[in-house]
Amino acid sequence: MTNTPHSNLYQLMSDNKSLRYLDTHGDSYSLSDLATSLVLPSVRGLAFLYLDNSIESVSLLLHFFREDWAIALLPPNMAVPFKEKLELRYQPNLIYDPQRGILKGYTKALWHHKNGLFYADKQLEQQLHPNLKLLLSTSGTTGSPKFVKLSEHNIIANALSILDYLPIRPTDVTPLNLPLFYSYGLSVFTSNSIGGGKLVCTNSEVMQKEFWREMERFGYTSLAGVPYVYELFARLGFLKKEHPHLRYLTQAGGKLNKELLAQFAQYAREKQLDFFVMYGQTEATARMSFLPPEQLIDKLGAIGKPIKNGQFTIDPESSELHYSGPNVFGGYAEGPADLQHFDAPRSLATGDLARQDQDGYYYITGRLKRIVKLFGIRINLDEIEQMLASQFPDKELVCVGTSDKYISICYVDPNVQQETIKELLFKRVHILPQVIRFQQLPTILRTSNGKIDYHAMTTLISDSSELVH
Amino acid sequence: MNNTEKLHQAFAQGLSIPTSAIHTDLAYQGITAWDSMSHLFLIAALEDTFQIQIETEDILEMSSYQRITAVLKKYDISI
Repeated sequence: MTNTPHSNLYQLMSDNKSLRYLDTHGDSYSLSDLATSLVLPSVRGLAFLYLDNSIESVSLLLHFFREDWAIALLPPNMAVPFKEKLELRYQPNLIYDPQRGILKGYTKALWHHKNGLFYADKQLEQQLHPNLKLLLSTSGTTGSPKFVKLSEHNIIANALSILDYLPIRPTDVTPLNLPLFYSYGLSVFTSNSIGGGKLVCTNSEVMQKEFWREMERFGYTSLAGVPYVYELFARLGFLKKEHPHLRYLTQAGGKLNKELLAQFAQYAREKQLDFFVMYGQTEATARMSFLPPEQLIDKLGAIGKPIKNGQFTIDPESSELHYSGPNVFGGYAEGPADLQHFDAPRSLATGDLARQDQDGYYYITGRLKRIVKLFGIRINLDEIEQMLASQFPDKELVCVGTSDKYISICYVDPNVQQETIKELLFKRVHILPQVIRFQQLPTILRTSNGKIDYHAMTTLISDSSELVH
Repeated sequence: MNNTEKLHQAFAQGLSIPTSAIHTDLAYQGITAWDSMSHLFLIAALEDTFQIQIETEDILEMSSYQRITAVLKKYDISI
């Protein structure tokens, strides 16, 4: 075991005497039960961890919180060619991936009596900045080599700010119902490991009966969800039922539509639950602001106020929302050379446009970058457009996002192969064909200097879709 | 179109997979195309195709091809 001056996340977790990790059988483990010894090939290296939410994954993650290694948390269901490409680029010293039986250039080892660990045959001496602890992706399973660089200090600072406003208690029973490789899911894990009670390690999803059985059996005291999860809750009759153990709900990862939010707000008031609307980004470790539950109905649609130790400013010219605080990341990595550096920007430019009301509450009014958030995952429309342009060079395909529900692909040429485009987007970037709309237009709108006028295109598409409905 | 064909059409439409990929062993999370996101699209496609309103508790029950056919029986649709 190694200790550096800034490595004390594990210490904070060990100080929590109520902390227990439960598997789906209900077997309970303490932190020291789980963070058993693992032989590592060096004092400091880079590990790629394809983590699900099982007790085995949690156990490994805890182990790496105790070690001075840098870790990348990745989705286990990423397509194998994407995994291979990423590994080729970053050359991790260790990989955890129970889904693959063999890995070229790596030697297999067991973890919890099962396959999954791989040690690199050639142990590269990685040039890692001392502050670098965690690499997270913001693009889901698309296999983008771009990572957000975070330090242990970032993780601790954000978890402590979250503990400052969420009613996390030692008697809590909290499910890991969001993925650990997702910043929001990881923040549920870290904040509850420091201040909560029981954490239930489960891969059950809200769309499965097991999840609701486990909820009843363990008596979950809170649930976390992106807008899509709350849409599922509503469709699954959540608002018509009693959930006696539930004390609070959190929602982040995008804007929940106002109508649904109002329904949940009403439900929360009737059942005396706290409903926390929160706002954040992976670049801020996870959380930047929250709306106090008692303000939910008065300030419906607001992202609230900054968390403890955080500040918002709005750029007077662009209206872009900036955030500063101890949880702001150390820059992006696009390859191994970037791992040597860790430079926090003075403030994080969120890419969101915002306004502040007379009571000091912040509201998101739009986005600076052309981004849509589908199912909690950021999709950059410019990148999609560039990809389509390289695949279909003779067609002009313009991507427009009018809401966080669909991507509209606009075109003029009637010979556009819609099925091929859908298939490509699903295969390459895992965008469901169901959320792609095609729109033939008489012309692509342009500004006076010949650039595509996305603003006008978006207005045009929104107007025409209103006519359809 | 008989009910099996209709069911396959709903699968193809809901999960965006070719009809050739549809077989009786299909299960939730068994293929990448069938996840929590596409499940609601599948439910909507089944509702459309068979002109039914699927109850909340049945949504969770319909986690495989076989279970879907079993639940559809409740709605007087035999495959």
